[in-house]
Amino acid sequence: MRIKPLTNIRDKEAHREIDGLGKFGIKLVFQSNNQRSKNQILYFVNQLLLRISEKCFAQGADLIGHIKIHLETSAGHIGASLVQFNEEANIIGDIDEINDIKIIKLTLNVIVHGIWDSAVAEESKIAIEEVCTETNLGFKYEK
Amino acid sequence: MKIFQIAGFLGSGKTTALIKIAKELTNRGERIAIIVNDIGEVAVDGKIIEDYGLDAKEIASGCICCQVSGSFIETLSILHDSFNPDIVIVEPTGVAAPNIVKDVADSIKSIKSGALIKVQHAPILTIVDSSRIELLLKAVKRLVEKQIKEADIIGINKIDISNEDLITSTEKFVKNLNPQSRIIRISAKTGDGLSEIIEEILNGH
Repeated sequence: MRIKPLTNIRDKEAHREIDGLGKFGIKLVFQSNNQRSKNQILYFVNQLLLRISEKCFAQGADLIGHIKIHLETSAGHIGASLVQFNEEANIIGDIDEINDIKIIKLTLNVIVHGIWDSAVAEESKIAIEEVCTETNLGFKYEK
Repeated sequence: MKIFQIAGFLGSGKTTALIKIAKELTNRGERIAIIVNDIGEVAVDGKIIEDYGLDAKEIASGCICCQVSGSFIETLSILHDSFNPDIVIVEPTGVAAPNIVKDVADSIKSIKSGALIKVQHAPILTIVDSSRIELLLKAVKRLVEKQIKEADIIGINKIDISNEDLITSTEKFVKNLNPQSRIIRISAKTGDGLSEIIEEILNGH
């Protein structure tokens, strides 16, 4: 059976609201030059979410849709999200209290209101580079 | 096959609520399937859900109520033919219109036989973030109002971090927009109020 998208959907106009949202998503692999602890990883995640929000707001964003991260390490997985500017991220899941984390796989999804996709992408990438430099983490893009 | 939709704007707490509701339904012996839809190219919610031992089908790069409705129909059809779950929990994007998602789900056909599949719908849940309702109404008022108007149940979320004035004003606001809806105070994080929603999923229609 061939499945076709619906074409007679009523009230598509709700999606005009999408036009106010800027989106960016990326998969990254981070390689630390040093072994990292749980606290250092959590600090990195918090800083990354906060920095992205600061950069986007400096460019004119007025509302966070969400800034979400899923992070995989040899010590466990965590999810983190930020929906309120100037507040700490909400973190779910846990990673073990070990100090030999060297590789972090991270999936990031940013949606904010008030600036366009290209600006969200640019500001997010700048934030990633800044936080990586500050925390001495190298990274490469996966997607 | 019953479809339960968790709607609500981005950041309202849909994924957190979904995880708790899905685990409880599974504990009660229900066969659960989960479909999560991310509007961005890179999906995160499915990974977070899987960390909790739940299996989620991800549909990314668009909204299942329009841009990728075909993928949604196909995923539902495959789930029906292969697993035939009791309940499919659907988390659309935070910009989806709940009634359109419902209409799209009504058009699924069996891939094996081509016959139209009759699905039941549990009450539509729209989650509203009481802690930032004022910000949302400034920036995305029309969309938030639409999601509220199309709900059967409205979960006033984040009661654990919001204050009583905001919670009460949010309740009044949603009641005014949708007087027929059932309004439940919830905290997706702590689980408060979710048992009432689970009863509605199992017994409501």
